[in-house]
Amino acid sequence: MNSRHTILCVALIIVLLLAVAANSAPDVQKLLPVKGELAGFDIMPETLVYGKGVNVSKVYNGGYEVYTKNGVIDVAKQMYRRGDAFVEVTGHTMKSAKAATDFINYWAKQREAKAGTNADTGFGFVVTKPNVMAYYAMDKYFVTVGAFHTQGNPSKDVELFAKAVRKKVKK
Amino acid sequence: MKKLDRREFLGAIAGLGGALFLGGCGKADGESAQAVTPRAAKFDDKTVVVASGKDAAKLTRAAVDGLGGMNKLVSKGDTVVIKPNIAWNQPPEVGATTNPVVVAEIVRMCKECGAGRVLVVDHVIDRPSEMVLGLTGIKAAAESVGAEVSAAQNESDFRRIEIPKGRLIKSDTCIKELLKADVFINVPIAKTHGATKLTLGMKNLMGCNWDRQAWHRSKLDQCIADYATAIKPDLIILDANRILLTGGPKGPGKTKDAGKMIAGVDPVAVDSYGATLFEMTGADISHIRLAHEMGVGEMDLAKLTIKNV
Repeated sequence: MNSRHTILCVALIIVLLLAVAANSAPDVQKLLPVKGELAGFDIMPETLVYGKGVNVSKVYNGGYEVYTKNGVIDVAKQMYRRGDAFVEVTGHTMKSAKAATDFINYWAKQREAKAGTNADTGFGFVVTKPNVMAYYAMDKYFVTVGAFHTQGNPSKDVELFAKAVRKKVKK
Repeated sequence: MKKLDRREFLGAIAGLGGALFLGGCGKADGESAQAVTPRAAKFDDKTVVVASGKDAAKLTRAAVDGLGGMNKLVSKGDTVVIKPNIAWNQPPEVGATTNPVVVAEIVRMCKECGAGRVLVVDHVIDRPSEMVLGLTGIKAAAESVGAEVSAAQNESDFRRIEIPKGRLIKSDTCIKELLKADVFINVPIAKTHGATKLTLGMKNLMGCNWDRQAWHRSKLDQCIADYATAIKPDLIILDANRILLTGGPKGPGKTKDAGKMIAGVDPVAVDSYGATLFEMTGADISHIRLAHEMGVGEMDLAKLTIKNV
């Protein structure tokens, strides 16, 4: 094997390793919208956070036990930006679909909201104060989408992201 | 794609070996652990001042004046580090982060005393940290009165410290700027907390260290108490103007306009009084009780002078 073949082999191995590494991302992380998936929104660099078990605290710090006690196995969170519009998507793998639904009911009580079923986004609810935030159970996933902007149409932005996640869950 | 960063790697090693609390925590900056020698208290450590009212700025000033005034603490040219709670991407009305009006008033008071440099700093949890500094309102408020505002988000921003009196932690890390400061003012917000029931002053110091997850993996309340034996603020101003009753620490949840600002130098005493705002006592909160037992301060309010202003 000459040096040209060696270089090709090394390059091929690197490509394969990268592909394996990309696929090794936790399932919940794969639910988060990727670059170009939602027109106009970019992923904010270095905002991806993933935690499993006690490391759910990487997202919620001391509040994490509420999540793990209610069946959260792992969590992935990422921020998106379009100009002055900011959206945060947080996906949680629950121990079961029932746990996801139960957790929606827990949050509905906390946020004094009424949960219902939406064909595009799943079972959940949306609150608008202090900012627009949606809570949905999508199969075995509990998903929250929050908007931090007040200009434009944050409710619509939140819905777009929730729909995008829901599509991936259905796949 | 998720990367296993240095923090996660260290955490995993620590979780497996349990070695984290035997002196190897937080390899910040590769420096040897620094002994922290608290300065002598400039205010009476048996006094807790409770200011009541509605205006957050006036409350803040009244609480500090009730102790004897900022000029007893801050001298001309001093570097002052202020540590509010700037953990979360939440606007101030949620009550999850320190009220920016309170922070700004403290900066103003320090500047009136001739402080050379006033730095407002926290180890922010939500990302990106610049957005958190903005959304909480703290960056704009503090900078408008002459402070620098920054987030300690890199391991190199921290230095190892010794915690000789710690039961569980014998060394950890602390924000370097805080260790170098002439004056350190802790400015927590009073709120509920999923793991520790409440987060007040001593719990707010958790934002001074680099690896929070290490504490969560261990006995959180003991870690908080241990850390409080080493890191002692020169002044604590507990923002209890609006307190978060549910959904803490991040919120949102139910809030109450308690209209209080509590100032003191004894971390256990301030926290113990703070607990009463939630119809609890210091003894109900494990880390307050532990810190009291370890000699950090006085938990029994009957043994303190509570000065209402």
